[in-house]
Amino acid sequence: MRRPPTRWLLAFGALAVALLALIPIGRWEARRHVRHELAGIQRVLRAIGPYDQPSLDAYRKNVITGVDCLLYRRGANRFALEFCFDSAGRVLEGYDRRGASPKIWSVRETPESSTIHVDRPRLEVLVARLQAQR
Amino acid sequence: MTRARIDERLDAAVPALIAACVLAAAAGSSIQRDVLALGRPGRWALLVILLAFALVRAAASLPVWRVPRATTFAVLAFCGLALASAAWSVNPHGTLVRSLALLAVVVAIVALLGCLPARPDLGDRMLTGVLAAAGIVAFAGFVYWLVSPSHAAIAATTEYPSRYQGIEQNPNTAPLLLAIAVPIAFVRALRAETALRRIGFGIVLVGLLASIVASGSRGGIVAAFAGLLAVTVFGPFSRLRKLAVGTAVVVAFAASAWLSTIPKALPAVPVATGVPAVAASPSANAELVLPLNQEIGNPWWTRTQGDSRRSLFNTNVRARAWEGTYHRALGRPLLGYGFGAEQWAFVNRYYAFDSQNPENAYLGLFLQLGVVGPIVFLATAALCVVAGARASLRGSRTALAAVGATAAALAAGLSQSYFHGPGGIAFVALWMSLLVCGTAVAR
Repeated sequence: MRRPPTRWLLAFGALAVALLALIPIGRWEARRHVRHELAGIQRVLRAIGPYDQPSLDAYRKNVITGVDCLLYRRGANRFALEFCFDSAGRVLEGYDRRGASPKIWSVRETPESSTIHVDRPRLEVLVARLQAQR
Repeated sequence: MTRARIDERLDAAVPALIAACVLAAAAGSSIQRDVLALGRPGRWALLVILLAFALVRAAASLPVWRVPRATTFAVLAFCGLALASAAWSVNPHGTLVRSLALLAVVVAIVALLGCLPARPDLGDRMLTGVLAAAGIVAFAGFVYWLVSPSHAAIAATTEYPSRYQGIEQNPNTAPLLLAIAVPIAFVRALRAETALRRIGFGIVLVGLLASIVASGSRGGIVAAFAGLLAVTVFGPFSRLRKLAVGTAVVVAFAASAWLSTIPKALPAVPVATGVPAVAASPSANAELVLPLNQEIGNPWWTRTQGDSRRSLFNTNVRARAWEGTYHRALGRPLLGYGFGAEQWAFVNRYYAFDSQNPENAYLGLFLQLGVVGPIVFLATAALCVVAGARASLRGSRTALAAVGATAAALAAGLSQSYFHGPGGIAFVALWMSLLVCGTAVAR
């Protein structure tokens, strides 16, 4: 086997350096994405207001393992606003259906990145109440 | 035993080993439970054996072992990117496992192809392994259909016609592999030295195409004929022969597409247009009215009957998923969610879309590795295809088959997301055809 020329060794070295340089960029992009999604979820929660209110109209139970959701009416639209939370009380998704198409914010793929927490037992009471209603 | 005899014996095992790897992957997605139980662990064990064998084979021909450096550099850049993405992946463990498996497959193939200067027919033997595996999958599917037709085909619904799936769990699975094998069989039939061999390869070719058409896999049909067209374009034929073969390929493509439309879906149950207003729905369980995994394109939004019936040209359902995946990928546009993390990054929210991936390998790569991923992959593919095309035009039969197989594999990526799944039915075939193309300049 012939010895690889120096320029190829340099090229492979440069490749390794370039790949290492991508790591901080990839991590920055991941953090930026999570911040963007959490900001959207926060907007949905602000639009909802108090969790226990007359416009609370529907629920989802175990929509993915351990994840429940609460949905709030706005006008004739029963599902206008929605947020989903996991068994640890972390809010993972927010939905705004007040327009012509849904706006969705989600950190479902990395639940541990959610910094928005809710009182899960209190919300479970709301889910149970909706389940019992109809 | 002489060195030449050792080499000969080692090389004789290559097609069988590659066929075993591809067959194990096919078994790993089989509908038959016993076969599935064998294939799931077997495919990983066989990849390890392939890697070990390839390294031994490479070591045995070390004095003359040589691969084109540009191709090796490009493919290692892709593997390196995949590996590095574990650092920013939404599932670092999943990314690490898949990128290491990709690296193992690529290293195994490159190690074998490095022996080409000493053993020029090794590339041909590797493609023989792919062709043999595809032939066995097609034949086994046909036998299974004879024995158990209800398992070897999915029943018609109001949305889908009945579709043949052979031994696989999904009608689109086997065609992925068969489409890659079609151009290999075609080249073997065209260049056969005896009439008997030509007839034999012709029968294999027809069998592969018949299986693809019976499955109704539109992506499979397009991929198979893309491979055949590539063979026609890059084959060392006279202009007149190219025209004749090309015309026959186009006519056969049209006929295959038409044949695949013969099975029909069941008549739709009449539904009044206009979905009742959401407010009128009595259930508090939103999943019964607007399931989260059916939200985009749901009649709840469109206020019309859901558009989910399958036809030759209706790609609305898949287009919804592609558009959604594109927007999802834009969330992390530079470097994506991590190689192999597609199943976590992709969330199926699309009405009538029954898959846990976007069903498009290029969008899948964009989702996993951002814009850098498809660029590196396509640059690697271009490098390989150009090398293979040049060798084909110079008369290399192996390169021609590899170019056809690569064209089919890349076309199949338009309708299936499989470039990143080492356990998938066509993964080894894709990287093998690509790298056989890429090393064609070494001969």
